[in-house]
Amino acid sequence: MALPVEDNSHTLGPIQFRGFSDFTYGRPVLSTLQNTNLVNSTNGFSLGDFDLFTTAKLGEHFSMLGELLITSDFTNEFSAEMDRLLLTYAANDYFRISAGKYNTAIGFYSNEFNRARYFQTATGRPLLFTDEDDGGILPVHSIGLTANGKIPSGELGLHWVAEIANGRGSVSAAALLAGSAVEPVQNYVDEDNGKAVNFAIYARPSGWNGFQTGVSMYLDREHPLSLAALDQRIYSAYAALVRPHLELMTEGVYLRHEFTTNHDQFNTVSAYAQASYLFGRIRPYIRYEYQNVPMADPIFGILGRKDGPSVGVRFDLTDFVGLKIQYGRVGVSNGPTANDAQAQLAFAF
Amino acid sequence: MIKRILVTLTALAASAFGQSGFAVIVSKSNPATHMPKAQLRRMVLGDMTSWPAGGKVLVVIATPGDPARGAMLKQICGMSESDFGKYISQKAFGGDSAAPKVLPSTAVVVKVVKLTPGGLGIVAASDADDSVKVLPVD
Repeated sequence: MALPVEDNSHTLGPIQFRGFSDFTYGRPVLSTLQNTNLVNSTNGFSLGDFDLFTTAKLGEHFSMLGELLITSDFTNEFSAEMDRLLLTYAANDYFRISAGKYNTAIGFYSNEFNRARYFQTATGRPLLFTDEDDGGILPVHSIGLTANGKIPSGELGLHWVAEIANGRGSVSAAALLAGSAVEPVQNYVDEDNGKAVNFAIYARPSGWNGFQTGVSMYLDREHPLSLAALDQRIYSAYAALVRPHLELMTEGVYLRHEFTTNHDQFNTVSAYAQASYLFGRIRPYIRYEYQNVPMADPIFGILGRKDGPSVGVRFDLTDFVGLKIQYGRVGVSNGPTANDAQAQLAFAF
Repeated sequence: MIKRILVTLTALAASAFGQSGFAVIVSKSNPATHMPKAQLRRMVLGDMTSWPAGGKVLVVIATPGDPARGAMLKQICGMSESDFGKYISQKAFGGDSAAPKVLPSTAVVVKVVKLTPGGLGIVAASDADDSVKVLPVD
């Protein structure tokens, strides 16, 4: 006799709402690295993203996920932004496919922690995973199709990911300095008919709880304003051990731009390593990051080289409220060294 | 009565393999004969949603505070209740909905597992009656 389960196939829901936000005092190091006309204080208060997260089952195999942000950036204006919106068909453990806006499966951090600063040990993402519209080098969001699943591999726990998307809208570094802007996540308007593709494979060995390692390859062709088209290739690799008490993560990305006309190449490397350990309710952490964009890179050249450490301590006031205090120092090749000191309250609900 | 004793002995045997304070129960129609520790962890944490022999896994556990639940989380997942709550919430933000179903008591857990072919329940050894199968954890 089977369990008498209520047949919900002809009704909607249940819908689950969750969310998160954070409140920070101090100066995020990124604010000193942006081209902005705002005068920035070292002791400002700031609200982080206010995230409304919704999921719902739409049938036995279908579900939806929506993540709406109320966010402000270096313009100080608040605006609504659709961070993720996905309709998913899950056939089984080996195949599921989603359509919509998603986090591109490049690397570990942005897919493990998504946006919620509460779930992140540090006060923010590594430089490597900075949002596209905040000057990040990666297409961390894509609009298109993403499919993933397990690969029958026993104890090795292999998974695959394949994605096809509009790719990233781009603007040359020179045009950016002159004030041009392009929304990097292309929705209604795509700069070309070509599509960006991304493939990833990762392993979660069942015998090593909390360990994950993987690689990915992303291919796109960009058409920056007033420049010839260029091919973009992004290769990533990572290894991460995330357990309740111990966190060890390192990942790196190699990004290559190559003009389709004269085949000039520009190679960017970005990487970070982070470690933390929970002593009772206090979790000290350290992160070191490095990013080197050649000044001649036609898209990201103004970013230059940045590297430096961040150290901090996190204390969980309750299960879903975390207090973090962090100091960071970033050396910049084309500007003065940037320091930041922050205190952050991050929460999820 | 004899069946009850046999069930308890099976649970005690499972304890002898290294787990104590909880028993893993499945429906009697489930062909599984034992539960590898790593597989149990993956099922509880939502990383494995199908049985090796086919069919969806439905993990059912009692509410926080249940000693069997606490013992399983500590010994199998290496987590406290707080760690587990954060883990499940973080997975939910990742779009993963395969969290265990939380039921009001272990008596209800036993009842649901009994009636669900793919059910997997965590209860105290003394709560597992002869209406369900106890799997030794190895």
